[in-house]
Amino acid sequence: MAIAFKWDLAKGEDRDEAVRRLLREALEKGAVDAVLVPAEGPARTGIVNMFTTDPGSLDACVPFAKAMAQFGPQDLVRLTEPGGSPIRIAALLKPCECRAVAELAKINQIDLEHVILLSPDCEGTVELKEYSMVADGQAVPVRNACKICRFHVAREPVDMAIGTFGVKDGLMLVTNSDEGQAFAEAIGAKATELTDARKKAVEESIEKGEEAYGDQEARSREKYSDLGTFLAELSPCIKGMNCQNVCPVCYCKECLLYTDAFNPTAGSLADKAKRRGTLRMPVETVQFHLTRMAHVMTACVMCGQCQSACPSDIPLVEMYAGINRRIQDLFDYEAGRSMEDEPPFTCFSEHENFEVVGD
Amino acid sequence: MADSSKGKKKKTTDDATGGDAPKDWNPRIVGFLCNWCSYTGADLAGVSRLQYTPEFIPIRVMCSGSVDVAYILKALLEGADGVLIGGCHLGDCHYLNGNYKARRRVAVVKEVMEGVGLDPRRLHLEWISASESGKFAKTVSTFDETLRQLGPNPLAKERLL
Repeated sequence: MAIAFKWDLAKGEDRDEAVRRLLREALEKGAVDAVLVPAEGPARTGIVNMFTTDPGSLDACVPFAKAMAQFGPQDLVRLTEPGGSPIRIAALLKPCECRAVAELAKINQIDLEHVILLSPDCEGTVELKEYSMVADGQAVPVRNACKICRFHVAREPVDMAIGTFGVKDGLMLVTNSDEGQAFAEAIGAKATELTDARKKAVEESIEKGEEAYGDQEARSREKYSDLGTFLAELSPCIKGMNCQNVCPVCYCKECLLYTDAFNPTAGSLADKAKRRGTLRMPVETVQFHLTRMAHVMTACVMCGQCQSACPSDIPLVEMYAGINRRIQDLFDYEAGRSMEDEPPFTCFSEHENFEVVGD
Repeated sequence: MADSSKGKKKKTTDDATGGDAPKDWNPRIVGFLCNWCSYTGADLAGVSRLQYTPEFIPIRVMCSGSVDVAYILKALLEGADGVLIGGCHLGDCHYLNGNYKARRRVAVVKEVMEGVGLDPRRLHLEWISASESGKFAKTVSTFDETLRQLGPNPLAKERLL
């Protein structure tokens, strides 16, 4: 049950500053020991994640940054690794990052027990390298993934959404958990009602996102119904594996694709070349992409970090949009929706069928 | 086949290259057969001298649930025209539920195949028990027939893959 709190702007304060004040309060009042927040890098040239225990250092923090730092969810994996003394962390991440965090938490990669997830409403982000242009006030189009995003507003299991959509003055803190509520109370936020304007704005953002996603899905289905398109678009792939490295839900400590089975020796390469006639070097490029699609698509949150990290600009978001929802729908699953839904590859039902046996 | 709870209409990507098939072409099928049921069923088919395509390449695995999607895709990328996965009947899995997991994986791989323009009919999942040698031979033959209609795997002719 969502419970709303009010966070008014102080005089002369903008929304970014109001959230900075909120985080300072949280650290000063001991609601958390540390925060993980997006911050501006030197000379406002980029956005990075900042981990700090010092309320004085939050000036660099940009809560509503128009760009997304890399590796937020992966940072939480590291920060909540078992063994260390548990610190209570408030992590301020984009809604898509939070959904990835939920996916990782479900498979025991992140321990959310001491983590408060905060997520500001997101109007989309630009490529990191274009951040300085945005910081200068130029209009830059958002990333492809953001254009078709259905989740501009964080929902459960995020502890607290920092609402701006449909909120005229100040911020509306919408808590979705007991922890979120306790956090809001600890920093001295005042309880309020969820306004109709807020509800309406959130619904509209979802509707708009659904429509955009649906359009892209249809376009992708059409475009990739011909195998040649897929293969042609992979042809500039340098197999640098950036897409895999930045993927927030690709988590295996030991990846199958790094094993000997997919890294053939000279002898087996020669055999393979003899059999096929020719080989693309390095080998297994298409295999890499197809396997990634099949392995992570049930958990994919469509954050688009893969495409942003690709030096060859391979339109991965477009490729994934055609299958992402379809695959998750098979299992009535939606990545990051709820902590109760079991990840599709970790469970099964005797009553399902999928029409795949004998087909 | 019983209807799935979704009742979703399946659109099938057609990567048919049937017209391009060389005269002496026979579909090559890679089969991942579970040790406890399908492989033994295939063995019995051999002992019983049942006829099926000689282009069938069996790979014995311990469980249909142990076949990672990567290996299914690898077989197709290496030029197999079709991949057959044979497992124990539901409820008969030697490891209790491996075949349920295989079924989920196959569902995902079929979606991925369709999403990139490969015909999902090139992947076939069947439950074949150790005594069902007839079903094994028939499954392979029917699959062979389907693949003949689809023609050679379009990935097989890609020179740089």
